[in-house]
Amino acid sequence: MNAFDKSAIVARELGIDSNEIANRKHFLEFGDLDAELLKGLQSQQQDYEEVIAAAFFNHLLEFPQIRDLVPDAETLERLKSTLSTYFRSLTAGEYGDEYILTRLHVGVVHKRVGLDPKWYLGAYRKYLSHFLFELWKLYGDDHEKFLKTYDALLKVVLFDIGLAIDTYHHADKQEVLQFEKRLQSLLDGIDAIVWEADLDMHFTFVSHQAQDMLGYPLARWTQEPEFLRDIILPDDRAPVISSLFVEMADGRGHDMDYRVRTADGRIVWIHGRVSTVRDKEGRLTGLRGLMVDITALKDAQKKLVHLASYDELTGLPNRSLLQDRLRQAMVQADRSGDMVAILLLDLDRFKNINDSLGHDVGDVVLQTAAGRLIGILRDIDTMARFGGDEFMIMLTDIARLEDITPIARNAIECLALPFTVGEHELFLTASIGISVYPRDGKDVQTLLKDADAAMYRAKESGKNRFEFFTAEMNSAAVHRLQFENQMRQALARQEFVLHYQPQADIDSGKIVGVEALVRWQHPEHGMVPPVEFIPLAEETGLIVPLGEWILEAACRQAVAWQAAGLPELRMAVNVSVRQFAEHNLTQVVERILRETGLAPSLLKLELTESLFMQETEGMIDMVLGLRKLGVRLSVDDFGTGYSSLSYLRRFPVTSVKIDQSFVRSITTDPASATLVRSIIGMAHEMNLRVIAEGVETEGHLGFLASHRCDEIQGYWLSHPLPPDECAAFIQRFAGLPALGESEKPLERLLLLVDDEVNITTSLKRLLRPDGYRILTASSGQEGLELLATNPVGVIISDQRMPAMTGVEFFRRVKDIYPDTVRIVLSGYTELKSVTDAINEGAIYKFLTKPWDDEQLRDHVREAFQRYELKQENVRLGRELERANAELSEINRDLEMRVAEKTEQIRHNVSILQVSQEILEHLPAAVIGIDDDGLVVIANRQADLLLVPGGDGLLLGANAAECLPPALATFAAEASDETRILMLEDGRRASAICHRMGDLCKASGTIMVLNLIDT
Amino acid sequence: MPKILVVDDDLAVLATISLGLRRAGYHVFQVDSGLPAIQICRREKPDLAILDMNLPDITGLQVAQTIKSETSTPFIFLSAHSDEGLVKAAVEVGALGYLVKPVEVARIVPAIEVALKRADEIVQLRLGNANLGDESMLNRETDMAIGLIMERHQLDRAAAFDVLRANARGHPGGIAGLAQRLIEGEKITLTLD
Repeated sequence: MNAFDKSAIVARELGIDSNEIANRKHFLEFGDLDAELLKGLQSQQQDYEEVIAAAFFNHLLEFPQIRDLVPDAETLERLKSTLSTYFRSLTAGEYGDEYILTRLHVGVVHKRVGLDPKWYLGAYRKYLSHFLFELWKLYGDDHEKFLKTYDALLKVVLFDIGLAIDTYHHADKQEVLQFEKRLQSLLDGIDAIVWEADLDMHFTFVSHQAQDMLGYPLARWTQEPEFLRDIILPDDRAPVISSLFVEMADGRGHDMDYRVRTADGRIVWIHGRVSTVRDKEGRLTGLRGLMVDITALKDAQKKLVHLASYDELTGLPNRSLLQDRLRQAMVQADRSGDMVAILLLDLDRFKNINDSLGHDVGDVVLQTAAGRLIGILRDIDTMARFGGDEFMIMLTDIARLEDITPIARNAIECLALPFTVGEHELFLTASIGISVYPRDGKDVQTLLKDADAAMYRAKESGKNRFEFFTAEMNSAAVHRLQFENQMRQALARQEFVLHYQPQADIDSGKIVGVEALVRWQHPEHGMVPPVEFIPLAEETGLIVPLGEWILEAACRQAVAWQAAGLPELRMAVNVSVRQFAEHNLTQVVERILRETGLAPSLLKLELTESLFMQETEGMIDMVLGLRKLGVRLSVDDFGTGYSSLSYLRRFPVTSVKIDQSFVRSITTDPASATLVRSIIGMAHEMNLRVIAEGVETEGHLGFLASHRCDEIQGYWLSHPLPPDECAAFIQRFAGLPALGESEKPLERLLLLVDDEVNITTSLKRLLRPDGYRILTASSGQEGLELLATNPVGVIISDQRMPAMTGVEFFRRVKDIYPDTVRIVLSGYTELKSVTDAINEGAIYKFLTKPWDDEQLRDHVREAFQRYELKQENVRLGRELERANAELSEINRDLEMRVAEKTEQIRHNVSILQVSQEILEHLPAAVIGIDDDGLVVIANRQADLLLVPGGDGLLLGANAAECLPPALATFAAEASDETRILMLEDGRRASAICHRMGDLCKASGTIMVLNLIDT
Repeated sequence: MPKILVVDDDLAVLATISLGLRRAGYHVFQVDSGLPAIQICRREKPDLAILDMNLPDITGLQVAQTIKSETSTPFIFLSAHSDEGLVKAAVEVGALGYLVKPVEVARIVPAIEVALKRADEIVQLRLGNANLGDESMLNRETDMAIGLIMERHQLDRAAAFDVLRANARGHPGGIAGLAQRLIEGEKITLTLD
């Protein structure tokens, strides 16, 4: 902006336009005549102005303030010249716009350099005084002219002074305005309401933020007498208002936090800062202050407090808050004489849910479990989450220990209901440990420790239950902790050893494998069985390194036995769910197989049934990955979980292992027998091998053999043995006793059961001539034992026996050995019970005592025929089944090999395609000629080089015909030399020719041509 | 932090809703059956309960009746159907809203904010605080009708309200009248523009 623009703005702001100029001139009576007179003065050609300017500056420089403004002689000369020019313009006779702007500019400059009007007026005084003398000299004789000219001079100078004063005034006003503007913008910029009020707390001023922040129009603030009181929340109203007046009475400023309701109903936290306003005499005249919205701060504080005391996942109090409340409750209980109970609740096997279904599902189950538990609590009880899957419930006002039990029971029951997640149902159980103040401890830590010990006892005694703390648990808890520490060191100290339990094939009677079982050779407690440390290892995660060690040690042992000349054995190793959760199990198994050199097919991993119920993507991939390595996979403890084989269809497992709890009771408990029979049937249908563990008697073996179980393992065969003993056992083993019915096809085995010996004796005598082998038993129990080890076909039993009636006996036999033919012989008719049994199919015939000898013999003969017919059918069925199984085993192997082959071919094809592409785009001609002289390879370069005109292909043509003779001859020689050959069109090419067959089975010749640039 | 109780027998639904509400800053209690839900209302006094209609032990309506008579917890319903009978029953029992499954978290939060505001207004009413602003927003039926329109036409809350308002022009009884007819299950064709 140049000086005139600025002056123009000033002129505009002052309202000095041509009208105003005319006005001012008119007021000063400054007319054309005056202008003429002044112009006339100028025409005198006198240098009055220079003289005045010089004199003026000489005068000025006597004043130190001015001297400071004039630094050197040069500036002084410049200023003098400016001033004389300025003075001269006064008498120039032109007083239009330009003149005005120049005058205003002078004012602006003077204001800027800080030249006060007094100096300005001084200059004019000098000017006017000087001219008074000069004019007198000039016009002294013409009085009229002298007076009029001087009058004109006065007018123009005053006109000028008027403008100058306006400029000064304008500049001052601008400064004030700017200051006000700055104040306003400062006020606007404050993120708070600024207010002033009188001594009655009526607002006299509020900044516009009041409307923005709280939504009430500003007028309401200043017009409604009790406005602040009205918007403050009722709870905060009294304290805020009273402190306001109290502090004011004491003449102090103060701070306070309170809540107000906004016009749209929200609640806003305000931090108020109030100070007093006083007049000059120090009398209090009013108040002023700030209101800052601190809602966000308050929320954050509240959240922090909440986070420190509450569990984020469930929103329940956390451990530290519960401990506080427990302390309070203990004080309260001391006063009232009541008790406080704490229930430490741990969800059983919750880890499985997290491991298998993921943390998201785990979290929602925890949150919902928390909801259910809150739902059973009384209003006075407190519940907290202790982290993980642990909850703590505190019961107060407990008068009798018995009052605790129903709540603990409710807690367990409310969690037992299924949790539905979409299509699935999850089942949870919980174990609770209870300690009671003051009975079990006097301080928080002791009570928590006691509850923890009681909870572990509940877990140990089978979970899904609650236990009250007892003193004896204390030592148990200490022991447990020690045990855990020792176990951590045991791995490093090599205190774990493996024992091996042989597994025999029922068909061949030979030992076909062993299961590796870990033992802990404890330095003090001797050999610790796995049940005592495996669950703890699972819980602490130690199972992962331990499992890896077991796997590696077992594989090394298997290889060592092979080297020692033992027959080929399959090594079975247990894998825990926890190891699966580590995600690198496949790599671990692969590495161990590689390092030990054990054939994958000789390793069998036993996985627990629960693992297969999880069916997560990662889990399926891992099972597939393991199977792909070639190791066998077995489902351990089969029958204890879902008892459903259907999920197994999705996994490539090779065998199932029937849990020993069923095997032990197959000969006595019909339910077990039925289950085992159906497991074997279903597994065979799916072409899985079945191994039974826990085989302890020959009866077990007999039952399993007769139901076509494939392998057995158990004490009857051998206990788990240290490696050397196991090797010795295997070398000594002579085979299982022959059991198959095929070996005694014609023996007819008859069982007679009666508590009266004379009856069995006479029956034996009667029936022996018919060629039966006859067994006798005096009770149902004894009969069952005989049945377990003998392939009995027909049974005759007395009805009336002391411990078990004939019908009861037969009902069991029917379930366990459904093929047997069963005849009841009764002294008198107990028709009712017997008919029922007949209707159920438990009894084939009912005969009365005394019997007709011949009739009885006929019946028995008939019964055996019936039995044998059934047996024959069964045998045929089994043969078919066995053939099918073999076939499908072969098929499966074949499929696997085909899959491998296909994979290999696919790989080769892709290599071939790559080679072809390289060949095709090689910047040299490549020609392959087979032994019959046909071109079998020709890349693009070859076609371009050798086919005239570039169209047509060499491929398939006769080399002798399509190649230039020189090339054809060269190809026929195939001398492996590089030679320069002339093509038909005169171009030359370097050529090399090679006879195939150095590295592969291919025959023929390959020729490579490169054009040589000439 | 307002406290909200969510009740649904399917943990998958519970997880979706409560996760969204927790992220939106609410303190959430959740449970999968009715009886514990009632006890939670007694103990924890949530600011709002979201009740599934179908629960394994007692129905959502029974839960609502109990908490209405024994606590001051306001509630809205959650149902797999926008069945007229159910909607009517929900209104009769005093629900502040009705959400149709599957719920989208983005849509549920505004609906819950409205219900909370409504609940607060009702408390203010009860306290005799007359400073309530827009009267029309006080109408529970209107709110239910907006919920229905949201569900039926896949609209957000504001758009659904616009549709209701536009269609109520010249309608006897205005917005409230139209809303009443809608929640009583009358087949009314709404024009959407």
